[in-house]
Amino acid sequence: MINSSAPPQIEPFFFGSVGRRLYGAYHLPAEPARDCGLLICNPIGQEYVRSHRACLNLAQRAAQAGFAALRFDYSGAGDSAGDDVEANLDVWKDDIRCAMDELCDRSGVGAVCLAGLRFGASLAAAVASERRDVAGLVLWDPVVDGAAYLEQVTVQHQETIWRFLDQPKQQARAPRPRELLGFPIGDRLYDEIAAVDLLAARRPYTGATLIVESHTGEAAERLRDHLQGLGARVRHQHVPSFTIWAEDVDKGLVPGPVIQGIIAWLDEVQP
Amino acid sequence: MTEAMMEEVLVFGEARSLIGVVTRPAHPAPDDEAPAVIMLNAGLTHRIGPNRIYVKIARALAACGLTVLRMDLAGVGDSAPRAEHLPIEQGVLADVRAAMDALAQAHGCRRFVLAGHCSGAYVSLLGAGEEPRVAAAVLINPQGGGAEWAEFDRQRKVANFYTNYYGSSALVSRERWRKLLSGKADYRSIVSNVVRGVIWGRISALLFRARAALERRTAPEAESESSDRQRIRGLLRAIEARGAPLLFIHTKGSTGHEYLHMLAGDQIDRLCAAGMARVTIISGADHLFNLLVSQEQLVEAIRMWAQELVLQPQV
Repeated sequence: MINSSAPPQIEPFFFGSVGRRLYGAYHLPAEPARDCGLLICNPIGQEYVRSHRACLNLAQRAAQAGFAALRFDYSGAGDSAGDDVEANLDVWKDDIRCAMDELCDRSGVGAVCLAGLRFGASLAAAVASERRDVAGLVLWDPVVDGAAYLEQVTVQHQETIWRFLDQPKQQARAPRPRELLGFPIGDRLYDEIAAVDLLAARRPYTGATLIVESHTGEAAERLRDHLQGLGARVRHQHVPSFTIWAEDVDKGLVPGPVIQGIIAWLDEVQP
Repeated sequence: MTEAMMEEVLVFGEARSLIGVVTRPAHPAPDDEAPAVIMLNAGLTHRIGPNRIYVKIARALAACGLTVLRMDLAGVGDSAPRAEHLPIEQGVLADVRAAMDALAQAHGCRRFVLAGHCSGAYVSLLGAGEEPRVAAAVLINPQGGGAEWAEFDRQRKVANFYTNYYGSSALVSRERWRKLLSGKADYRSIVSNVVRGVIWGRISALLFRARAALERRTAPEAESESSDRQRIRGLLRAIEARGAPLLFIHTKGSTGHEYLHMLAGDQIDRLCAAGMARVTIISGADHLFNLLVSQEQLVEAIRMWAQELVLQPQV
Protein backbone atom coordinates (compact mmCIF):
# COMPACT_ATOMS: atom_id res chain seq x y z
CA MET A 1 0.00 0.00 0.00
CA ILE A 2 1.43 3.38 -0.99
CA ASN A 3 0.81 6.18 1.49
CA SER A 4 0.23 9.54 -0.19
CA SER A 5 0.96 11.83 2.77
CA ALA A 6 3.35 14.82 2.61
CA PRO A 7 7.07 14.10 1.92
CA PRO A 8 8.71 12.80 5.11
CA GLN A 9 11.65 14.54 6.71
CA ILE A 10 15.25 14.37 5.52
CA GLU A 11 18.13 13.72 7.92
CA PRO A 12 21.44 14.83 6.39
CA PHE A 13 24.65 13.48 7.94
CA PHE A 14 28.20 12.37 7.26
CA PHE A 15 29.15 8.72 7.61
CA GLY A 16 31.98 6.36 6.72
CA SER A 17 35.54 6.14 7.97
CA VAL A 18 37.61 9.09 9.17
CA GLY A 19 39.62 9.24 5.99
CA ARG A 20 36.59 8.81 3.73
CA ARG A 21 33.61 10.76 5.00
CA LEU A 22 30.53 10.47 2.81
CA TYR A 23 27.55 12.82 2.70
CA GLY A 24 24.24 11.05 3.16
CA ALA A 25 20.62 12.17 3.15
CA TYR A 26 18.34 9.76 4.97
CA HIS A 27 14.64 9.88 4.19
CA LEU A 28 12.55 8.57 7.06
CA PRO A 29 9.93 6.07 5.93
CA ALA A 30 6.26 6.82 6.39
CA GLU A 31 4.40 4.41 8.66
CA PRO A 32 3.86 1.56 8.29
CA ALA A 33 7.53 1.23 7.39
CA ARG A 34 8.63 -1.78 5.36
CA ASP A 35 11.44 -4.12 6.28
CA CYS A 36 13.33 -3.05 3.19
CA GLY A 37 15.31 0.10 2.45
CA LEU A 38 16.17 1.79 -0.82
CA LEU A 39 19.70 2.94 -1.56
CA ILE A 40 20.02 5.37 -4.44
CA CYS A 41 23.21 5.24 -6.50
CA ASN A 42 23.75 8.56 -8.26
CA PRO A 43 25.10 9.10 -11.74
CA ILE A 44 28.62 10.52 -11.95
CA GLY A 45 30.13 13.84 -13.08
CA GLN A 46 27.84 16.37 -14.73
CA GLU A 47 25.03 13.82 -14.97
CA TYR A 48 24.91 13.75 -11.17
CA VAL A 49 24.53 17.53 -10.88
CA ARG A 50 21.67 17.45 -13.39
CA SER A 51 19.94 14.46 -11.76
CA HIS A 52 20.04 15.60 -8.12
CA ARG A 53 16.41 16.74 -8.11
CA ALA A 54 15.22 13.49 -9.71
CA CYS A 55 17.12 11.33 -7.21
CA LEU A 56 15.76 13.46 -4.34
CA ASN A 57 12.24 12.97 -5.68
CA LEU A 58 12.75 9.22 -6.03
CA ALA A 59 13.91 9.03 -2.39
CA GLN A 60 10.98 11.14 -1.21
CA ARG A 61 8.45 9.00 -3.08
CA ALA A 62 10.04 5.80 -1.79
CA ALA A 63 9.93 7.11 1.79
CA GLN A 64 6.29 8.06 1.34
CA ALA A 65 5.70 4.46 0.28
CA GLY A 66 7.29 3.19 3.51
CA PHE A 67 10.83 2.49 2.30
CA ALA A 68 13.66 3.93 4.38
CA ALA A 69 15.68 5.66 1.64
CA LEU A 70 19.26 6.85 1.55
CA ARG A 71 20.93 9.07 -1.01
CA PHE A 72 24.66 9.61 -0.69
CA ASP A 73 27.59 11.14 -2.55
CA TYR A 74 30.49 8.97 -3.71
CA SER A 75 34.02 9.80 -2.53
CA GLY A 76 35.29 12.86 -4.39
CA ALA A 77 31.75 13.75 -5.52
CA GLY A 78 29.09 16.12 -4.21
CA ASP A 79 29.62 17.01 -0.56
CA SER A 80 31.68 13.92 0.26
CA ALA A 81 35.36 14.16 1.13
CA GLY A 82 38.01 13.89 -1.53
CA ASP A 83 38.97 15.41 -4.85
CA ASP A 84 37.14 14.27 -7.93
CA VAL A 85 40.47 13.65 -9.63
CA GLU A 86 41.18 10.80 -7.19
CA ALA A 87 38.01 8.87 -8.04
CA ASN A 88 38.04 5.23 -9.13
CA LEU A 89 35.51 2.43 -9.38
CA ASP A 90 36.86 0.32 -6.50
CA VAL A 91 36.38 3.22 -4.11
CA TRP A 92 32.90 3.98 -5.43
CA LYS A 93 31.80 0.35 -5.10
CA ASP A 94 33.17 0.36 -1.54
CA ASP A 95 31.15 3.51 -0.91
CA ILE A 96 27.97 1.72 -2.03
CA ARG A 97 28.68 -1.20 0.32
CA CYS A 98 29.36 1.23 3.16
CA ALA A 99 26.11 3.12 2.41
CA MET A 100 24.13 -0.16 2.37
CA ASP A 101 25.44 -0.98 5.84
CA GLU A 102 24.69 2.54 7.03
CA LEU A 103 21.12 2.34 5.73
CA CYS A 104 20.56 -0.98 7.54
CA ASP A 105 22.08 0.34 10.79
CA ARG A 106 20.15 3.59 10.71
CA SER A 107 16.75 2.21 9.75
CA GLY A 108 16.91 -1.32 11.12
CA VAL A 109 15.72 -2.84 7.83
CA GLY A 110 16.77 -6.39 7.04
CA ALA A 111 17.19 -5.93 3.30
CA VAL A 112 18.06 -3.25 0.79
CA CYS A 113 17.05 -2.58 -2.81
CA LEU A 114 19.57 -0.71 -4.94
CA ALA A 115 18.38 1.86 -7.46
CA GLY A 116 21.01 3.32 -9.77
CA LEU A 117 20.68 5.96 -12.46
CA ARG A 118 22.99 5.93 -15.51
CA PHE A 119 26.53 5.03 -14.35
CA GLY A 120 25.15 4.65 -10.83
CA ALA A 121 23.14 1.72 -12.24
CA SER A 122 26.31 0.13 -13.61
CA LEU A 123 27.94 0.45 -10.17
CA ALA A 124 24.82 -0.86 -8.40
CA ALA A 125 24.73 -3.89 -10.74
CA ALA A 126 28.36 -4.68 -9.93
CA VAL A 127 27.82 -4.46 -6.15
CA ALA A 128 24.51 -6.38 -6.27
CA SER A 129 26.23 -9.29 -8.01
CA GLU A 130 28.64 -9.67 -5.07
CA ARG A 131 26.26 -9.44 -2.11
CA ARG A 132 23.59 -11.73 -0.72
CA ASP A 133 21.56 -9.04 1.04
CA VAL A 134 20.27 -7.21 -2.04
CA ALA A 135 16.49 -7.55 -2.23
CA GLY A 136 16.02 -5.91 -5.61
CA LEU A 137 17.86 -3.94 -8.27
CA VAL A 138 16.59 -0.99 -10.29
CA LEU A 139 18.65 -0.08 -13.35
CA TRP A 140 17.38 3.31 -14.51
CA ASP A 141 18.71 4.08 -17.99
CA PRO A 142 21.88 2.15 -17.16
CA VAL A 143 25.21 2.71 -18.86
CA VAL A 144 25.60 -0.70 -20.48
CA ASP A 145 28.72 0.03 -22.53
CA GLY A 146 31.30 2.19 -20.72
CA ALA A 147 33.35 3.00 -23.83
CA ALA A 148 30.28 4.22 -25.72
CA TYR A 149 29.31 6.29 -22.68
CA LEU A 150 32.71 7.98 -22.60
CA GLU A 151 32.49 8.71 -26.31
CA GLN A 152 29.04 10.24 -25.84
CA VAL A 153 30.16 12.46 -22.95
CA THR A 154 33.26 13.50 -24.91
CA VAL A 155 31.07 14.73 -27.78
CA GLN A 156 28.81 16.60 -25.35
CA HIS A 157 31.87 18.19 -23.78
CA GLN A 158 33.11 19.44 -27.15
CA GLU A 159 29.68 20.78 -28.10
CA THR A 160 29.43 22.60 -24.78
CA ILE A 161 32.76 24.29 -25.36
CA TRP A 162 31.72 25.32 -28.86
CA ARG A 163 28.40 26.68 -27.67
CA PHE A 164 29.49 28.63 -24.63
CA LEU A 165 32.93 29.96 -25.40
CA ASP A 166 33.44 32.93 -27.67
CA GLN A 167 36.89 31.83 -28.72
CA PRO A 168 37.78 28.39 -27.40
CA LYS A 169 41.42 27.49 -27.60
CA GLN A 170 42.02 25.20 -30.52
CA GLN A 171 42.91 21.81 -29.15
CA ALA A 172 43.65 18.73 -31.14
CA ARG A 173 41.50 15.93 -29.83
CA ALA A 174 43.62 13.92 -27.44
CA PRO A 175 43.40 10.12 -27.40
CA ARG A 176 41.77 10.47 -24.03
CA PRO A 177 40.34 13.58 -22.44
CA ARG A 178 41.59 14.91 -19.11
CA GLU A 179 38.25 16.46 -18.27
CA LEU A 180 34.64 15.86 -19.26
CA LEU A 181 31.82 18.36 -18.80
CA GLY A 182 33.36 20.18 -15.87
CA PHE A 183 34.93 17.21 -14.06
CA PRO A 184 38.43 15.74 -14.24
CA ILE A 185 38.90 12.18 -15.36
CA GLY A 186 42.14 10.43 -14.50
CA ASP A 187 43.71 7.60 -16.49
CA ARG A 188 42.64 4.92 -14.06
CA LEU A 189 39.01 6.04 -13.93
CA TYR A 190 38.90 6.43 -17.72
CA ASP A 191 40.19 2.90 -18.24
CA GLU A 192 37.85 1.46 -15.64
CA ILE A 193 34.77 3.13 -17.12
CA ALA A 194 35.80 2.14 -20.66
CA ALA A 195 36.03 -1.48 -19.53
CA VAL A 196 32.47 -1.57 -18.17
CA ASP A 197 30.29 -3.90 -20.22
CA LEU A 198 27.15 -5.14 -18.49
CA LEU A 199 26.58 -7.59 -21.36
CA ALA A 200 29.83 -9.33 -20.50
CA ALA A 201 28.90 -10.05 -16.88
CA ARG A 202 28.92 -13.82 -16.38
CA ARG A 203 27.65 -13.86 -12.80
CA PRO A 204 25.22 -10.97 -12.58
CA TYR A 205 22.69 -10.36 -9.85
CA THR A 206 19.83 -12.75 -10.54
CA GLY A 207 17.21 -11.47 -8.07
CA ALA A 208 14.29 -9.19 -8.92
CA THR A 209 15.54 -6.60 -11.39
CA LEU A 210 13.83 -3.68 -13.07
CA ILE A 211 15.35 -2.08 -16.15
CA VAL A 212 13.57 1.20 -16.69
CA GLU A 213 14.30 3.09 -19.82
CA SER A 214 13.13 6.63 -20.49
CA HIS A 215 14.39 6.80 -24.05
CA THR A 216 14.53 4.13 -26.70
CA GLY A 217 17.71 2.21 -27.13
CA GLU A 218 18.68 -1.30 -28.03
CA ALA A 219 21.18 -1.60 -25.20
CA ALA A 220 18.52 -2.02 -22.50
CA GLU A 221 16.77 -4.75 -24.48
CA ARG A 222 20.04 -6.59 -24.98
CA LEU A 223 20.76 -6.24 -21.27
CA ARG A 224 17.33 -7.68 -20.43
CA ASP A 225 17.92 -10.64 -22.76
CA HIS A 226 21.41 -11.17 -21.36
CA LEU A 227 20.27 -11.14 -17.73
CA GLN A 228 17.25 -13.34 -18.43
CA GLY A 229 19.53 -15.78 -20.22
CA LEU A 230 21.54 -16.10 -17.03
CA GLY A 231 18.47 -16.72 -14.91
CA ALA A 232 17.70 -13.25 -13.55
CA ARG A 233 14.10 -12.19 -12.86
CA VAL A 234 13.99 -9.11 -15.05
CA ARG A 235 11.26 -6.69 -15.97
CA HIS A 236 11.96 -4.15 -18.69
CA GLN A 237 9.83 -1.00 -18.77
CA HIS A 238 9.98 1.67 -21.41
CA VAL A 239 8.54 4.86 -19.92
CA PRO A 240 8.96 7.68 -22.44
CA SER A 241 10.29 10.72 -20.64
CA PHE A 242 12.99 13.36 -20.91
CA THR A 243 16.59 12.34 -20.33
CA ILE A 244 16.93 14.07 -16.98
CA TRP A 245 20.72 13.61 -16.81
CA ALA A 246 21.13 15.69 -19.99
CA GLU A 247 18.72 18.52 -19.15
CA ASP A 248 19.47 22.01 -17.85
CA VAL A 249 19.14 21.95 -14.04
CA ASP A 250 17.27 25.24 -14.08
CA LYS A 251 14.34 23.70 -15.92
CA GLY A 252 13.56 22.00 -12.59
CA LEU A 253 12.33 18.84 -14.33
CA VAL A 254 11.42 15.65 -12.50
CA PRO A 255 10.52 12.55 -14.57
CA GLY A 256 7.36 11.73 -12.63
CA PRO A 257 6.15 8.72 -14.68
CA VAL A 258 9.56 7.01 -14.46
CA ILE A 259 9.71 7.49 -10.69
CA GLN A 260 6.11 6.34 -10.33
CA GLY A 261 6.97 3.18 -12.30
CA ILE A 262 9.93 2.45 -10.01
CA ILE A 263 7.86 2.90 -6.84
CA ALA A 264 5.09 0.67 -8.23
CA TRP A 265 7.63 -2.05 -9.00
CA LEU A 266 9.20 -1.77 -5.53
CA ASP A 267 5.74 -2.01 -4.01
CA GLU A 268 5.20 -5.21 -5.99
CA VAL A 269 8.49 -6.96 -5.15
CA GLN A 270 8.66 -5.77 -1.52
CA PRO A 271 5.00 -5.62 -0.43
CA MET B 1 39.66 17.08 2.02
CA THR B 2 42.81 17.44 4.04
CA GLU B 3 42.95 16.69 7.75
CA ALA B 4 43.35 20.39 8.42
CA MET B 5 39.68 20.79 7.54
CA MET B 6 36.37 19.70 9.02
CA GLU B 7 33.00 19.43 7.32
CA GLU B 8 29.69 19.07 9.08
CA VAL B 9 26.04 19.27 8.21
CA LEU B 10 24.04 22.29 9.38
CA VAL B 11 20.25 21.98 9.63
CA PHE B 12 18.67 25.31 10.41
CA GLY B 13 15.77 27.72 10.02
CA GLU B 14 12.62 28.04 12.09
CA ALA B 15 11.23 24.76 10.76
CA ARG B 16 14.71 23.18 10.61
CA SER B 17 14.05 22.64 6.94
CA LEU B 18 17.14 24.37 5.51
CA ILE B 19 20.25 22.30 4.89
CA GLY B 20 23.87 23.20 4.35
CA VAL B 21 27.42 21.95 4.83
CA VAL B 22 29.94 23.92 6.90
CA THR B 23 33.65 23.68 6.07
CA ARG B 24 36.00 24.88 8.81
CA PRO B 25 39.73 24.90 9.34
CA ALA B 26 40.69 22.48 12.10
CA HIS B 27 44.13 23.87 12.91
CA PRO B 28 44.27 26.61 13.82
CA ALA B 29 40.67 27.29 14.81
CA PRO B 30 39.07 30.10 12.80
CA ASP B 31 39.70 33.63 14.05
CA ASP B 32 36.63 34.89 15.90
CA GLU B 33 36.88 38.22 14.12
CA ALA B 34 37.08 36.73 10.63
CA PRO B 35 33.83 36.81 8.68
CA ALA B 36 32.13 33.53 7.73
CA VAL B 37 31.32 32.94 4.07
CA ILE B 38 27.84 31.85 2.97
CA MET B 39 27.56 30.42 -0.55
CA LEU B 40 24.18 30.73 -2.24
CA ASN B 41 22.63 28.50 -4.90
CA ALA B 42 23.27 29.17 -8.57
CA GLY B 43 19.72 28.84 -9.90
CA LEU B 44 18.36 25.39 -9.04
CA THR B 45 21.77 23.71 -8.82
CA HIS B 46 22.13 22.29 -5.33
CA ARG B 47 24.70 23.60 -2.88
CA ILE B 48 27.76 21.93 -4.45
CA GLY B 49 27.45 24.54 -7.23
CA PRO B 50 27.95 24.17 -10.97
CA ASN B 51 30.60 21.51 -11.60
CA ARG B 52 31.05 21.14 -7.81
CA ILE B 53 32.82 24.48 -7.84
CA TYR B 54 31.31 25.63 -4.51
CA VAL B 55 32.94 22.66 -2.78
CA LYS B 56 36.32 23.63 -4.21
CA ILE B 57 35.85 27.27 -3.22
CA ALA B 58 34.70 26.34 0.30
CA ARG B 59 37.68 24.08 0.89
CA ALA B 60 40.14 26.63 -0.52
CA LEU B 61 38.74 29.35 1.76
CA ALA B 62 38.74 27.07 4.79
CA ALA B 63 42.43 26.45 4.07
CA CYS B 64 42.86 30.24 4.43
CA GLY B 65 41.24 30.13 7.87
CA LEU B 66 37.63 30.97 7.01
CA THR B 67 34.43 29.20 8.00
CA VAL B 68 32.28 28.55 4.93
CA LEU B 69 28.66 27.44 4.66
CA ARG B 70 27.29 26.22 1.32
CA MET B 71 23.55 26.15 1.73
CA ASP B 72 20.40 25.26 -0.14
CA LEU B 73 17.76 27.98 -0.18
CA ALA B 74 14.18 26.85 0.51
CA GLY B 75 12.90 24.62 -2.29
CA VAL B 76 16.36 24.08 -3.80
CA GLY B 77 18.56 20.99 -3.35
CA ASP B 78 17.91 19.22 -0.05
CA SER B 79 16.10 22.14 1.63
CA ALA B 80 12.33 21.82 1.83
CA PRO B 81 10.13 24.43 0.16
CA ARG B 82 8.93 27.11 2.54
CA ALA B 83 5.52 26.59 4.10
CA GLU B 84 4.45 30.24 4.00
CA HIS B 85 4.04 32.27 0.82
CA LEU B 86 6.54 35.12 0.56
CA PRO B 87 7.69 37.23 -2.38
CA ILE B 88 10.96 35.78 -3.75
CA GLU B 89 13.23 38.52 -2.38
CA GLN B 90 11.74 38.32 1.10
CA GLY B 91 11.99 34.54 1.03
CA VAL B 92 15.66 34.35 0.10
CA LEU B 93 16.53 37.12 2.55
CA ALA B 94 14.77 35.17 5.31
CA ASP B 95 16.84 32.09 4.41
CA VAL B 96 20.10 34.07 4.37
CA ARG B 97 19.29 35.62 7.76
CA ALA B 98 18.46 32.16 9.12
CA ALA B 99 21.88 30.96 7.91
CA MET B 100 23.61 33.87 9.68
CA ASP B 101 21.70 33.17 12.90
CA ALA B 102 22.63 29.48 12.71
CA LEU B 103 26.34 30.21 12.12
CA ALA B 104 26.29 32.73 14.96
CA GLN B 105 24.78 30.17 17.29
CA ALA B 106 26.93 27.22 16.21
CA HIS B 107 30.28 28.96 15.71
CA GLY B 108 30.00 32.47 17.13
CA CYS B 109 30.23 34.15 13.70
CA ARG B 110 29.19 37.80 13.74
CA ARG B 111 29.96 39.06 10.24
CA PHE B 112 29.47 37.42 6.90
CA VAL B 113 30.53 37.38 3.29
CA LEU B 114 27.83 36.35 0.82
CA ALA B 115 28.96 34.65 -2.38
CA GLY B 116 27.08 33.19 -5.29
CA HIS B 117 27.08 32.41 -8.96
CA CYS B 118 24.41 33.61 -11.42
CA SER B 119 21.17 34.09 -9.43
CA GLY B 120 23.27 33.45 -6.30
CA ALA B 121 25.24 36.58 -7.23
CA TYR B 122 22.05 38.62 -7.19
CA VAL B 123 21.02 37.16 -3.82
CA SER B 124 24.49 38.08 -2.51
CA LEU B 125 24.06 41.67 -3.71
CA LEU B 126 20.59 41.79 -2.22
CA GLY B 127 21.80 40.47 1.13
CA ALA B 128 24.75 42.86 1.16
CA GLY B 129 22.42 45.80 0.50
CA GLU B 130 19.76 44.83 3.01
CA GLU B 131 21.50 43.09 5.90
CA PRO B 132 23.97 45.00 8.11
CA ARG B 133 25.80 41.83 9.21
CA VAL B 134 27.07 41.33 5.64
CA ALA B 135 30.66 42.58 5.53
CA ALA B 136 31.37 41.82 1.86
CA ALA B 137 30.01 39.99 -1.19
CA VAL B 138 31.31 37.99 -4.13
CA LEU B 139 29.27 38.11 -7.33
CA ILE B 140 30.21 35.43 -9.85
CA ASN B 141 28.77 35.80 -13.32
CA PRO B 142 25.58 37.63 -12.36
CA GLN B 143 22.94 37.32 -15.06
CA GLY B 144 20.02 39.60 -15.63
CA GLY B 145 17.73 41.31 -18.06
CA GLY B 146 14.36 40.27 -19.41
CA ALA B 147 13.27 38.19 -22.38
CA GLU B 148 15.17 40.38 -24.88
CA TRP B 149 18.46 39.81 -23.08
CA ALA B 150 17.76 36.08 -22.83
CA GLU B 151 17.17 35.96 -26.60
CA PHE B 152 20.35 37.99 -27.19
CA ASP B 153 22.27 35.49 -25.07
CA ARG B 154 20.73 32.52 -26.90
CA GLN B 155 21.62 33.93 -30.31
CA ARG B 156 25.20 34.50 -29.19
CA LYS B 157 25.49 30.88 -28.12
CA VAL B 158 24.05 29.60 -31.40
CA ALA B 159 26.45 31.82 -33.35
CA ASN B 160 29.36 30.63 -31.19
CA PHE B 161 28.45 27.02 -31.74
CA TYR B 162 28.33 27.17 -35.54
CA THR B 163 31.36 29.46 -35.77
CA ASN B 164 33.40 27.04 -33.69
CA TYR B 165 31.94 23.98 -35.35
CA TYR B 166 32.55 25.09 -38.93
CA GLY B 167 35.65 27.07 -38.02
CA SER B 168 37.51 24.29 -36.26
CA SER B 169 36.05 20.83 -36.39
CA ALA B 170 34.52 20.73 -39.86
CA LEU B 171 37.35 22.60 -41.57
CA VAL B 172 39.95 20.06 -40.50
CA SER B 173 37.80 16.99 -40.95
CA ARG B 174 38.81 14.96 -44.00
CA GLU B 175 35.52 13.11 -43.85
CA ARG B 176 33.47 16.30 -43.97
CA TRP B 177 35.51 17.70 -46.88
CA ARG B 178 35.00 14.42 -48.73
CA LYS B 179 31.25 14.66 -48.21
CA LEU B 180 31.22 18.29 -49.27
CA LEU B 181 33.17 17.69 -52.46
CA SER B 182 31.34 14.52 -53.40
CA GLY B 183 27.96 16.22 -53.21
CA LYS B 184 26.80 14.19 -50.22
CA ALA B 185 26.73 17.09 -47.79
CA ASP B 186 23.48 18.67 -46.66
CA TYR B 187 24.14 22.02 -48.35
CA ARG B 188 20.78 23.48 -47.32
CA SER B 189 21.51 22.80 -43.66
CA ILE B 190 25.04 24.24 -43.91
CA VAL B 191 23.81 27.43 -45.59
CA SER B 192 20.99 27.76 -43.05
CA ASN B 193 23.36 27.29 -40.11
CA VAL B 194 25.88 29.79 -41.44
CA VAL B 195 23.38 32.42 -42.61
CA ARG B 196 20.81 32.14 -39.82
CA GLY B 197 22.99 30.91 -37.00
CA VAL B 198 26.18 32.85 -37.55
CA ILE B 199 25.62 35.85 -39.83
CA TRP B 200 22.13 36.77 -38.67
CA GLY B 201 23.06 35.94 -35.08
CA ARG B 202 25.98 38.37 -35.18
CA ILE B 203 23.93 41.07 -36.93
CA SER B 204 21.13 40.66 -34.37
CA ALA B 205 23.63 41.04 -31.56
CA LEU B 206 24.98 44.26 -33.08
CA LEU B 207 21.46 45.64 -33.58
CA PHE B 208 20.49 44.70 -30.04
CA ARG B 209 23.51 46.45 -28.57
CA ALA B 210 22.95 49.53 -30.75
CA ARG B 211 19.30 49.72 -29.71
CA ALA B 212 20.16 49.28 -26.03
CA ALA B 213 22.78 52.06 -26.27
CA LEU B 214 20.35 54.37 -28.05
CA GLU B 215 17.62 53.75 -25.50
CA ARG B 216 20.08 54.47 -22.72
CA ARG B 217 21.00 57.77 -24.27
CA THR B 218 17.49 58.91 -25.13
CA ALA B 219 15.60 57.42 -22.17
CA PRO B 220 17.99 56.36 -19.41
CA GLU B 221 15.10 55.16 -17.26
CA ALA B 222 13.40 53.12 -19.98
CA GLU B 223 10.41 51.16 -18.72
CA SER B 224 11.92 47.73 -19.43
CA GLU B 225 15.04 48.38 -17.39
CA SER B 226 13.86 50.87 -14.81
CA SER B 227 13.00 48.46 -12.02
CA ASP B 228 16.24 46.48 -12.38
CA ARG B 229 18.28 49.65 -12.74
CA GLN B 230 16.79 51.34 -9.71
CA ARG B 231 17.03 48.21 -7.60
CA ILE B 232 20.67 47.47 -8.45
CA ARG B 233 21.76 51.09 -8.08
CA GLY B 234 19.93 51.38 -4.78
CA LEU B 235 21.60 48.24 -3.44
CA LEU B 236 25.02 49.45 -4.55
CA ARG B 237 24.45 52.81 -2.82
CA ALA B 238 23.51 51.03 0.42
CA ILE B 239 26.59 48.80 0.19
CA GLU B 240 28.82 51.79 -0.55
CA ALA B 241 27.43 53.66 2.47
CA ARG B 242 28.32 50.73 4.72
CA GLY B 243 31.75 50.33 3.15
CA ALA B 244 31.29 46.64 2.36
CA PRO B 245 33.77 45.48 -0.31
CA LEU B 246 32.53 43.71 -3.44
CA LEU B 247 34.23 41.27 -5.77
CA PHE B 248 32.71 40.96 -9.23
CA ILE B 249 33.89 38.01 -11.30
CA HIS B 250 32.81 37.79 -14.93
CA THR B 251 33.79 35.44 -17.68
CA LYS B 252 35.04 37.39 -20.67
CA GLY B 253 32.27 38.36 -23.06
CA SER B 254 29.45 37.37 -20.72
CA THR B 255 26.00 38.79 -21.34
CA GLY B 256 25.53 39.34 -17.61
CA HIS B 257 28.60 41.57 -17.48
CA GLU B 258 27.27 43.64 -20.35
CA TYR B 259 23.88 43.99 -18.66
CA LEU B 260 25.30 44.95 -15.26
CA HIS B 261 27.65 47.44 -16.89
CA MET B 262 24.71 49.02 -18.66
CA LEU B 263 22.74 49.34 -15.42
CA ALA B 264 25.44 50.45 -13.04
CA GLY B 265 28.81 50.55 -14.80
CA ASP B 266 29.52 54.09 -13.59
CA GLN B 267 28.80 53.18 -9.95
CA ILE B 268 30.93 50.06 -10.09
CA ASP B 269 33.79 52.01 -11.69
CA ARG B 270 33.57 54.53 -8.86
CA LEU B 271 33.63 51.79 -6.22
CA CYS B 272 36.66 50.24 -7.92
CA ALA B 273 38.45 53.59 -7.98
CA ALA B 274 37.77 53.97 -4.26
CA GLY B 275 39.19 50.51 -3.58
CA MET B 276 35.81 49.20 -2.47
CA ALA B 277 35.23 46.87 -5.39
CA ARG B 278 37.26 44.70 -7.68
CA VAL B 279 36.24 43.42 -11.09
CA THR B 280 38.01 40.27 -12.26
CA ILE B 281 37.55 39.04 -15.82
CA ILE B 282 38.35 35.40 -16.57
CA SER B 283 39.19 34.64 -20.19
CA GLY B 284 38.51 31.37 -21.97
CA ALA B 285 35.70 30.47 -19.61
CA ASP B 286 31.98 29.93 -20.02
CA HIS B 287 29.14 30.89 -17.69
CA LEU B 288 29.34 27.65 -15.68
CA PHE B 289 33.15 27.32 -15.66
CA ASN B 290 33.04 23.99 -17.44
CA LEU B 291 36.79 23.94 -18.10
CA LEU B 292 39.01 22.91 -15.19
CA VAL B 293 41.54 25.65 -15.90
CA SER B 294 38.80 28.26 -15.55
CA GLN B 295 37.65 26.66 -12.29
CA GLU B 296 41.17 26.99 -10.94
CA GLN B 297 41.28 30.65 -11.99
CA LEU B 298 37.96 31.28 -10.26
CA VAL B 299 39.03 29.62 -7.02
CA GLU B 300 42.32 31.49 -7.04
CA ALA B 301 40.66 34.88 -7.67
CA ILE B 302 38.34 34.38 -4.70
CA ARG B 303 41.07 32.94 -2.48
CA MET B 304 43.40 35.89 -3.09
CA TRP B 305 40.63 38.43 -2.51
CA ALA B 306 39.54 36.65 0.67
CA GLN B 307 43.08 36.60 2.04
CA GLU B 308 43.31 40.36 1.61
CA LEU B 309 39.87 40.74 3.15
CA VAL B 310 40.72 38.69 6.22
CA LEU B 311 43.85 40.72 6.74
CA GLN B 312 41.92 43.98 6.68
CA PRO B 313 40.86 44.68 10.28
CA GLN B 314 37.97 46.97 9.28
CA VAL B 315 36.20 44.24 7.26
